[in-house]
Amino acid sequence: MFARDPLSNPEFLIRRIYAYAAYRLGDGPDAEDATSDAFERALRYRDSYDSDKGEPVAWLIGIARRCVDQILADRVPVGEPPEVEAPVHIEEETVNRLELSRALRSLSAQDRELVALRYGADLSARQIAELLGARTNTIEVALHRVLERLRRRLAREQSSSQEGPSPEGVRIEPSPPV
Amino acid sequence: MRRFRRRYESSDIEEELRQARPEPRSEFLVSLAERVRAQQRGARPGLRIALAGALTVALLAALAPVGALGSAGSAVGAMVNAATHVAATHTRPVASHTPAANQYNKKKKCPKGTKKKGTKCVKAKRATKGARVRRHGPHFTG
Repeated sequence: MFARDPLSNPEFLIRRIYAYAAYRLGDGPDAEDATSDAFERALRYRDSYDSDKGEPVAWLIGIARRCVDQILADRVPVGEPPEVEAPVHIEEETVNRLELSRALRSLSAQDRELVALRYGADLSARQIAELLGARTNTIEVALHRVLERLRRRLAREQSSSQEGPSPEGVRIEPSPPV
Repeated sequence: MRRFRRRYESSDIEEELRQARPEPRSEFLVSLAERVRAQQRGARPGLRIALAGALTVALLAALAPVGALGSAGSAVGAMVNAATHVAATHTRPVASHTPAANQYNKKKKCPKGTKKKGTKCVKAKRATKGARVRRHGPHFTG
């Protein structure tokens, strides 16, 4: 009768689910849609949550994965988004984030999923392994490789920007279209 | 930009990924949290049952010292009794201890010195006169 309510702390869970969705879909309306869908389903199937099997965030991420997959499947493939020029005085931190965001977008879907689960939803390697039905060691190795790829890509971007920096400023790519 | 490169080269990219974790818009966060809470309030029968149970226990605990339980028990007993009287089907009463029954329903006794055998009273046989009773073991010597 007094089963633990998985949605007792919605703010914390919304932040985690949104971060996961945004790492996979890009920051913006798609991530919000995926988060809303995940919570709608979670409310509908709240009774199916079993606290013995894991924490509420892991259970919700299991639901959110399907919502994100659905949005990705529904996306109409379009050409490369047009680049928007940013002003020269853009803050350094913002530039770093944009570089990172661009590097993340260049990763494969599987690599992005791993990054989203580890750094967006803040799940441990063990929780990710349980979710994906893999061994913890396999996930740790895969994460290490993803980070290496990301490092290389960022280093390449840096070297290319060093060679020919734009005199007007930094080019910003908007989030992928819906 | 130069500072970022230096920092990026030396520090861990994991920290960068954690710091750059996307945050939802505050309006979106507040509205979704409110919606979740509203649905939670609307669909929690377990909580309502628990509340009703807790109130019942509290009420019983408060009334127990003044004999409410005994009073309630006797009230229930009286109610059951009344219900039994109303619902029970009665058979025709038969008077068993009446003067007539006493007079006509007497059992016949055999006269003294006779024994009942079937429906008749016959004279009882006596033991043969002078017959010795055989004893087992030694006589009593005191």
